[in-house]
Amino acid sequence: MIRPQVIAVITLSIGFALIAVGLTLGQQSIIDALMRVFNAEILAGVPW
Amino acid sequence: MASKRPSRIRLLRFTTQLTSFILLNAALIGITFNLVVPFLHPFSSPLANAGGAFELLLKLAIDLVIPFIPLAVFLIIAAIFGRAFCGWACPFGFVQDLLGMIPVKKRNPSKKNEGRFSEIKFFILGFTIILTIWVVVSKIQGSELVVQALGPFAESPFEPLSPATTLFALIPWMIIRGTIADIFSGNILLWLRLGILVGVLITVIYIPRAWCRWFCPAGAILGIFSRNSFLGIKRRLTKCTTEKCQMECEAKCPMAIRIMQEPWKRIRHHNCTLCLNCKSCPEDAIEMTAP
Repeated sequence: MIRPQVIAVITLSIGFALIAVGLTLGQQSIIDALMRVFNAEILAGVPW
Repeated sequence: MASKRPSRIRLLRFTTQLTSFILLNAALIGITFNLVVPFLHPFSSPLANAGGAFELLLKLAIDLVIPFIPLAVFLIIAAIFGRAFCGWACPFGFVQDLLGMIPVKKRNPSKKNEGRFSEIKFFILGFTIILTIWVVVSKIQGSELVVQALGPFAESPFEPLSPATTLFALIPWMIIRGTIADIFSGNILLWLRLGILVGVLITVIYIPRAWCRWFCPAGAILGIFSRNSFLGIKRRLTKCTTEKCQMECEAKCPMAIRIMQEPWKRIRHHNCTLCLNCKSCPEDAIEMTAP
């Protein structure tokens, strides 16, 4: 049986790998833009 | 000793929640930092400094972007802290805790029903993911039919019905835009959204953290990965003597976890938010654990 700590370390490693890929692909800037664009869309009148 | 510590912990938790609530909603006063947070927080809010990883995950997927960062936030936070952010930082959780302070007789369903209700959040999560995949596949195929049929749900499958989005985005936007009178316009989706919010807010007065326990899909994701988190709590068998106590730990748990039925080495319940209310144990048998 796999020890919980090992599962936690594997989960953490996958998380950091995903962060690295996301940052390399410039995803944080997509998220930043998304927040601004989404707010602008709502201001322009997206239906509730 | 044991009687003073829980009140100190509660004060610390309240301060942390209040700070988080203010900082995450401080965009209106010009403080901005676009964080991705592992709990429900609508990035569409005019007040928001942060976007909930769950909302961003769905939105990015629907925009045909693989949501690496939101997924990573869930995995990293869950692996280290479990669901602690639900108990210590989530603004909607804080609102629920505030409403839970209203002195009315608290109610809880039977143990059997609590277990069933707890599973609803996994169904909501699954349904939302299926809906997202459906929209993504139809977009890849170039079909507009699904997008048109789903309306606002095609833009974000969960947010239109999320009470956190209604409270932190819809209502502030209505106030800012001066469209509060839209409530009387007969818009069914608007009524549904407000109805869900009011229903949840009334429910949490009587049933502590009912939204987090039963319905929150972000909590469901964290719950799945938090079972093996580094931080956790355990029960010290040498101190835990049921003859001497009234199961204070279970009585004080806002998530209604049957602590005495969990493994003593490590409480692995998917609903544990590490709020540490269970440290009110008169024997001081509950303690934090980390590998």
